[in-house]
Amino acid sequence: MAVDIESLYRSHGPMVLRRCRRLLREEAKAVDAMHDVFVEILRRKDSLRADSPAGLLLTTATHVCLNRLRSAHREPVDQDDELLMQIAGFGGEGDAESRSLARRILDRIFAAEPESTRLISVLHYLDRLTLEEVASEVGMSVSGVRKRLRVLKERLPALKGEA
Amino acid sequence: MATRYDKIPDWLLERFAAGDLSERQAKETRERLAAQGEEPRLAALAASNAEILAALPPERVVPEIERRAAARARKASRAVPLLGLSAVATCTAGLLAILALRVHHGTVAMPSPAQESIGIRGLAPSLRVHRKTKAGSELLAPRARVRKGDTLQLGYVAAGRRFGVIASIDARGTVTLHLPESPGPAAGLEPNGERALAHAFELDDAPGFERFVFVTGDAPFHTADVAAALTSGPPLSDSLSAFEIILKKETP
Repeated sequence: MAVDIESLYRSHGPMVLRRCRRLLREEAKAVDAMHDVFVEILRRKDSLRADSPAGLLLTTATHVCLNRLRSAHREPVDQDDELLMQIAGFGGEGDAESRSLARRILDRIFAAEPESTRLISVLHYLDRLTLEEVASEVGMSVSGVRKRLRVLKERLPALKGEA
Repeated sequence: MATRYDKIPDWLLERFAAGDLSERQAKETRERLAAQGEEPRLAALAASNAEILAALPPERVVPEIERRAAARARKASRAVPLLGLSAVATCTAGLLAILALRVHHGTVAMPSPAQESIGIRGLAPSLRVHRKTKAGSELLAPRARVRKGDTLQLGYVAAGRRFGVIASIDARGTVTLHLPESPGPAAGLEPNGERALAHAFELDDAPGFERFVFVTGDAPFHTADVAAALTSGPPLSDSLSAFEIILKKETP
């Protein structure tokens, strides 16, 4: 669909910025990421659905911020932040001792794990959506969501939740 | 359905406030908000909207979004002849630029004594090129063979330098900016550790070679300085260091 970026920003920009603030915890980085969310929307304007632009924008913001977190080298500011950074980096293989952090981050960028697993994890563990709500957001079955979360939980045993 | 008394997640509240939920979801959310006395959260969102739009008005934000989108599109098409030179002229100029950079700083640039006191002792800025593989990624050595369609991720080690530009030039003389992604001031660098650029990219079918340069400095400079050095312009200032990696292009 055609995108009027100005009216989309007026109607949804603040929501996107709040999402980026929540995930990145730094105002300047959040504002920068917000711009990139709309760039992504322009790039993928064909996938924008007129009936649920907010959902797409929130999802895109989550992916953009997770990508930023993957390449960030900062200490988590609290437990939720630590969880988020683990999810952001999810997908690389172990052996932390023998590989540099940066290398592991790059491996994670290229990891084959579906991007949606990270989104599902953030929605469930950080945003506290129920499995049913997550399933509705990502268009999967509850059992599908549970399966994805189980994989993540096996790799990141620190995670807690009903999955 | 029984009324739920747990707090409505921000995600769903945002979608509700944006009128984005289905009729059933919206009804349930309204009921939960009322049951929990949480309607003030909606008022808080409205106030936040006004505050954000006042601080970051569309007149400021939208042009920046459009600028970034245009830069991304140019980069994706890999058709960014920054200086608009002919293919022959740019190829020649590119070779001259290689010489200029090498004469100035060597293939692996070393910091001058003045810079060393600011930088991290024992480390020089460097550029890393990783290629996506089925198992993850591999670090490419200088003169590694690459081919059209390879997905590359660039990363840098600033070693304490404050500003940097990463650009590449192919055998056709096409110069592409990777950091920053569009012409302007050099990017501020993260001083420590290896940092991956925000976007990986796919190699196009330009033959011969792909040459990447990472130019760093402790004072602000401009991407035009690098573009000029990569073509026929003056060599880099003594205050700048350059690190380069050349990859050989395999012809399918």
